[in-house]
Amino acid sequence: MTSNNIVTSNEEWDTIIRPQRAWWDLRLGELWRYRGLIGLWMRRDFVATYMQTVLGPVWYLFSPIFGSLVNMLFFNKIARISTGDVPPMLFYLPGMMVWGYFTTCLYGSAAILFSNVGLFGKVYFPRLIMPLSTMASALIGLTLQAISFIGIAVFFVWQGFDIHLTPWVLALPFYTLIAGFMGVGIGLIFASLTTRYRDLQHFIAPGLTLVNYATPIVYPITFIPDFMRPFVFLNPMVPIFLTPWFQSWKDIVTVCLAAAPRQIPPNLFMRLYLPWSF
Amino acid sequence: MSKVLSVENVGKEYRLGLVGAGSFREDFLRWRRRGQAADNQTASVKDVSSIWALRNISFQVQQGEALGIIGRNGAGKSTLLKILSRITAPTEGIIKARGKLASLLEVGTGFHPELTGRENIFLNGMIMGMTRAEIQRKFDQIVDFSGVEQFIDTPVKRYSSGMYVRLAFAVSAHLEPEILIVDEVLAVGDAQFQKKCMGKMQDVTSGGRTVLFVSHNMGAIQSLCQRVIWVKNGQVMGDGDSRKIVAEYLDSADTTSVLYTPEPNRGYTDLILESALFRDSQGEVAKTFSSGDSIRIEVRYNALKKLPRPNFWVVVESSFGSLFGANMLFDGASPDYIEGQGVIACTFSGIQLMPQRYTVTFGIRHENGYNNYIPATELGSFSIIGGSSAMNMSGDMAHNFFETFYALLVPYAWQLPDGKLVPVNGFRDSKLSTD
Repeated sequence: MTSNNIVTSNEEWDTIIRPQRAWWDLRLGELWRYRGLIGLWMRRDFVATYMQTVLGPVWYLFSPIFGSLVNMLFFNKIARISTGDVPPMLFYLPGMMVWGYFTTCLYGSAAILFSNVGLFGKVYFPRLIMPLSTMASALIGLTLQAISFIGIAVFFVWQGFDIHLTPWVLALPFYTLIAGFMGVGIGLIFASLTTRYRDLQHFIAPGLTLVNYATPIVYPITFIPDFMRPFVFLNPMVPIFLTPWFQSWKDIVTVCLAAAPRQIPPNLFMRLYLPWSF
Repeated sequence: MSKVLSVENVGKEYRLGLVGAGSFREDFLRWRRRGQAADNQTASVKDVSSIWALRNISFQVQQGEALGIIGRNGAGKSTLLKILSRITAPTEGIIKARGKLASLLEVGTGFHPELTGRENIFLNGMIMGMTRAEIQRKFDQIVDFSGVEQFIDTPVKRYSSGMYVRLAFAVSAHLEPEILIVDEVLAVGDAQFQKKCMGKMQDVTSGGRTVLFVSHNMGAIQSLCQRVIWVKNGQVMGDGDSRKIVAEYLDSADTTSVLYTPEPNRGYTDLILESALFRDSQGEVAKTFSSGDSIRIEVRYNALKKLPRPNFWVVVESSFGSLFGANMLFDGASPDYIEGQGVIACTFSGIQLMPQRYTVTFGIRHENGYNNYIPATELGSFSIIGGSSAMNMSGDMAHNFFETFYALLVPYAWQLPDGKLVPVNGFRDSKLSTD
């Protein structure tokens, strides 16, 4: 132990511990200093989840593809809900992926206090690191899914379907982040509430199922009668899933016009939810 | 010397009662009940009360100082520690620190069995507040210190428990914070580790850093810290020289006034036991002694009538049972009679005891030896203090366990298979030669 960094005696304090912080004070500077932890935690989650599985990360692909197949069977073939000009597989898959990302973030954040009780009781670091690394870990899966999706899309184009990328695809990272932050924000609300009311943890799964069906994931927005459209937009998840980064040209104009002015709500919700839950 | 830590009027309030009973339904019912109660009898129902675990705590720590924090269970030490390590926020007051503040409440925080030693060093180090660059700079040192360089890229689940602890401690030992907070929780670790830990703490202070050490072990506190803060009922009771404060703390144990009043219904009517105290060889009132000291047990009584040939007895006990004592029924030293107020004292010389707490029980028997003037009554307790070094205990386990194995400290010698004699505790015996 060398004492090469003995502090000088000026009246400057590095750490100040005070009773209460304003609710908007996320102490992002501190978060930035600890940013390296996010990567390590991401690795830890990944290794811990897939260390002793045979297929490893392939499992990331299983859930959305399987889900899309189920949706194809029930909603497209049996219930005959049209997916417009987009092939059903390409219609369901991105929705399943982003929704999966959203719920992973939500569940992870909602469990954050319970699953880290030992750690939080032992050592200080910005607590926001944990939900953010959940978000980052889930991003690994989403990336793998996106790659497989591109593969499938290329296959469909090769089969002669008329599908194109839209300029909205550039906004994809942004929307992914919004979905993630939405999940983290809502999850953290549940995390703090469930410390007091354990009942609420039973509310998450059915609630998510409800929101899932209220969001145009397994059906196109055109499926909803015109008079109900404004109400649909009360659901903060809707604009994320409406962004037509991948649709046939014909739909783009109408859907863009419908969705674009309403891009603000998720952002606003995120700002309201995230600090409040700390 | 400059101030590195300043704690100003810190308080922590905890809510008591059925806060967060766990279900929304219960809370709702209580809320409704409270509403009804408010209608019926105003403001009498208050099922949420609060307690101040800490109040008005203020102290300052200079650079390079080793500060001990003592107090009984529930006095607020752990709360203070939690506030300082930022696990919980204070309700009032402010704490200012200069330099990095790290707490060693546990080693290996965040270690994951599936990750390799290398990854765990980074993970653990960063949780504890090191930057990536800092860990990279110290990486080789940490690995050297831990002695697991061969297995550094092996998942730690394949490590032996010893390797695991060594690696975990190696990271903690290289934190190099300006202020280190150590809880005695560490004392339950591996003996080797604890020894290292104590040594490291001494290094830390001699290296100009500051240590806050919380412990129940008065020996360890006195050997490590020059200054001690005594917390009682959430407040600072004493702050100053460790020897003085520790003595005050131990003396405070239970100040005795009237120990025994006559119980007519049980047939004891004649004697009042007014007070009792212990004195050291200088005649000073004391509650702490070192092994080898003399202890004088002094009892003040009031005989309400003339009592012939009372037989006084006294026994020193530990958790192992009665250890030694004195009894006039056996030694025949009883006075002809006692009447009115008086003092009886018994001195034990050269008490060879391990550092523990001992209770003293006292009684007075009739001349016939079968009836009591005063039945067995606890006079109080005293402590033997001294760490393992003071007791010449230098084995690997000396730091944790040595005082709990037995109570009496009798000089002894080992004769090893090669015939070598190892005397302990000033062992002397002419029949055994030491060559």
